[in-house]
Amino acid sequence: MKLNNKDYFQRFIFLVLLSLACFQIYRSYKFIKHSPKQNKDIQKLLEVIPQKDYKRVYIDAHNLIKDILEIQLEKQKVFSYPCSFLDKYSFTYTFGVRVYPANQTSQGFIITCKEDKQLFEQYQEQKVPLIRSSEFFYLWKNL
Amino acid sequence: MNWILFVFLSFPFFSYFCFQFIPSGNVLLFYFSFIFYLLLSFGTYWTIFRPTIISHKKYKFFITKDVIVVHVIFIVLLLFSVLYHDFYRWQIEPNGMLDSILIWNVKAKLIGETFLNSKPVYFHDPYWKFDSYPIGLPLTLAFFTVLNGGWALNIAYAYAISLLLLCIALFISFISQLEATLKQVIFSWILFLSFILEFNVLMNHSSIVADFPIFVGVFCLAYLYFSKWTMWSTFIFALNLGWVLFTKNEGIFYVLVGMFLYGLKLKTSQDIIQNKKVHVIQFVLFLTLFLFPSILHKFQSEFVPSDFQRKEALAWSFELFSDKLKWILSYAFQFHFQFLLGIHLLILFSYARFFERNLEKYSLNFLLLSLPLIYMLLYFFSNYDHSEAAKFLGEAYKKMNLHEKEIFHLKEHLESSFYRINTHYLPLFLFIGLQVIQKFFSKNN
Repeated sequence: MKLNNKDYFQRFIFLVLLSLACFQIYRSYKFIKHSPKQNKDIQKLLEVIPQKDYKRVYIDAHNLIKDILEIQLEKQKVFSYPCSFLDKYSFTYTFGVRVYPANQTSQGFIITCKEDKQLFEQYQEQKVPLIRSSEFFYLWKNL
Repeated sequence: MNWILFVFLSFPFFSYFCFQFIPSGNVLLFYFSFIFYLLLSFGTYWTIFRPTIISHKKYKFFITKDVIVVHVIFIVLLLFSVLYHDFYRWQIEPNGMLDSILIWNVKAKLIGETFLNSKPVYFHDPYWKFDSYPIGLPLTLAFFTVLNGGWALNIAYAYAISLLLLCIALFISFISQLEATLKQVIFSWILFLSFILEFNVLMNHSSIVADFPIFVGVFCLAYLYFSKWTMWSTFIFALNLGWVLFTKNEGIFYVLVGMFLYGLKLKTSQDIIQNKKVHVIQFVLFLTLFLFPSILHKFQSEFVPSDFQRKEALAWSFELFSDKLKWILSYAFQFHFQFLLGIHLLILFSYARFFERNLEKYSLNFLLLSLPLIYMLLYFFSNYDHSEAAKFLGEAYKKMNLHEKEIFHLKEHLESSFYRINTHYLPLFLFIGLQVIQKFFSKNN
């Protein structure tokens, strides 16, 4: 079969499409297997939260956790926000997620998914401890 | 396969019917009605719809031993990876993401356990957060809560996994209809995996919220559109549109998309050319029937979702507009090029470039280009005020002016939902991609 320019172009596009699809699958497998390493910030966090409260750490994105508690559904669970999974891949996420020990609501930890300078500075002014979300994933795994 | 699709899609409506009419606490009648429903639906399918499918069937299922081996390998690979991810996510976050505990699971649990405690079941409560959200998913989960004798998170997990299995089954069924060769099957699987294992789809699946069901609903829509059209397709297509609207507010787009696709099918397909009028009447009747519960529910609660109710955000200025545009575009860029690597756009380009020029091609291209744009436009008007989040920033927030507050709300809303809801329309791109692969192979042969 004789191929013309259009056929070659079609083959080229098809190959690009397939290689992108393969790369996407490879990236997904990396994401699925991903487990961030422990570092000093995690140690700090683990020191601050008492051992017995590990399983009662609430992670609250919109401070709606109070309403949930009022509904009395699942008190002893960990909640979180999906962006913290993805930080490893350096996608920009700007909104922080707070982590509360169960008995503490006024102060907490803020997980920044990627440093948003403005928010970051505001948090620093308030002297709130900061950790990155990839480290937070480690904390999850070790709860 | 067709019967399973029917049972799956009609289940929320059946649950709605049961919770409305079965007296609270009568679990035995619930069990009985479940078995009766399965038998009745199977009987109806076997006697009415199956003969029409067989009479229209002009294709043969093309499955050789090699193709079966490839299917098995890829199914194992896919299930292993998704369940591995789910296992970790659910170990850490048993309730999935915040929305599932705030909206979907809490409603399912309350409806199911109210019934079990012999109290009158209600579908609205002003105390609920997002009371106006559709109740298709909670009703389905509540039904199994009653069968189980109490709420268990395993019900939500099992439902999410069953949706994934339905996707796989539909995909294999579609590939078989295409009479695909071994190479074509392998390439189709690679494309399928690249969509299903996409980060946001994986996260949606393990978040056990209503976004993955919508993804599957659009998957069914695309499957039905690209398959041979029969009387059964008309019925199940209308049911699918009703199901999507009954599951999530965004379903309204897919009702419109579905009607558009139906019109296109009517115009271009040879399958329904003989009895067009009968098909249209059937479609309109079925659609009215299946949209009715959603519309009823909407009228009983708020009609406009709370995400679009604040008036302050409509105080437009050029600065606000340009900032909003900047943020929305940055999120859109990340979603389409960093997450999806532009695969879907490349598929659309190939479809536009290498397929014959006809009405169907232009219409589908228009549809698939407009969907992401509509989703982006939505964010200009979305302005949910997370007043609690405002307290969170304390003094810093008080110093902000209206413009800054609006941007803050928008960023927050973009952050929590942009990637999640943009996965809804991906199955349409996937099915176009499967057409592209078929075209490539048919030309080479």
